[in-house]
Amino acid sequence: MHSTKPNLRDLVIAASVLLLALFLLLFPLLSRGEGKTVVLTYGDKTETYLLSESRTLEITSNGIHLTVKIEGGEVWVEDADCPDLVCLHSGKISKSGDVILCVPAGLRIQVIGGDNDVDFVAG
Amino acid sequence: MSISWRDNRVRRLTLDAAALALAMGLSYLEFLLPIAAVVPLPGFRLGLANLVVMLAFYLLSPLDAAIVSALRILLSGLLFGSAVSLYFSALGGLCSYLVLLLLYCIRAKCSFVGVSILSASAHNAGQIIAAMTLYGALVARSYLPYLLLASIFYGGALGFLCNLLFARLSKMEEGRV
Repeated sequence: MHSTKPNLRDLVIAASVLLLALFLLLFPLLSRGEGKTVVLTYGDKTETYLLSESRTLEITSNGIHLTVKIEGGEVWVEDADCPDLVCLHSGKISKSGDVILCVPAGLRIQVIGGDNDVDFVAG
Repeated sequence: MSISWRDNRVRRLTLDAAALALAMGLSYLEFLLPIAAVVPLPGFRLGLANLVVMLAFYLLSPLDAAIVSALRILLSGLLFGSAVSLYFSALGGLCSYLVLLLLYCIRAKCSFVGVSILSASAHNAGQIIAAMTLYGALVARSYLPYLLLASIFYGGALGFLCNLLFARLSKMEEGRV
């Protein structure tokens, strides 16, 4: 039923999957807005802070200690002793929808816009 | 096109068993490869055994392919994997098989390259869905674009191989291999 020689339809399929992948990559970047609140989720705790109020947070989750700083309308991971340090190198986030994750610690830092009716999916 | 098994139960059993063994061998190979370094999602697997499932689907029958696929997932999950990888594998395998079935029903004219890319993508999508239920929607979803990109390449390569194998094996019936 299928041919056994690669043909044009294969290319069409490959191209479509490629486009889908690129779209999924770019979509989060396109739907960003101004951020207002920072939500930290770890273990079964959820903490919410305003982006406008500067503070330094010390979080311990899954035995990993992290220092999260909120300042100048941005939030980032200042220090962490997790094995991969991806969170540390994630940079600073400030737009709604932006997320920093520390998978070993099970920590999620997300910025959400104040009037957004879109909730982040719990989990 | 397909090797007739209707009249010969033993032959069918033997061919299914051989396909299952081959699929499990490929599954074990996956277990040896350090893909955790590339994709740090615990429980993620490549779908090398999909080659056998695709071949079985068209050389034997869709039902045989389903049986081989299901048994392979169960057995290799029990032998080489963890409960998590079994779960990932199951959802991935299910989605992958559904895509194979769909392509069969619409009589898609693409070669196995296209079939393989789509079923590999479906396999990854299934694994992402599994990951989403375990680790949360956001963590898992962020991997999806990269997995899709990867599936184009390894799906394509596997499909190309499948093309060659199918062309040869379908002549087996006529004794011309």
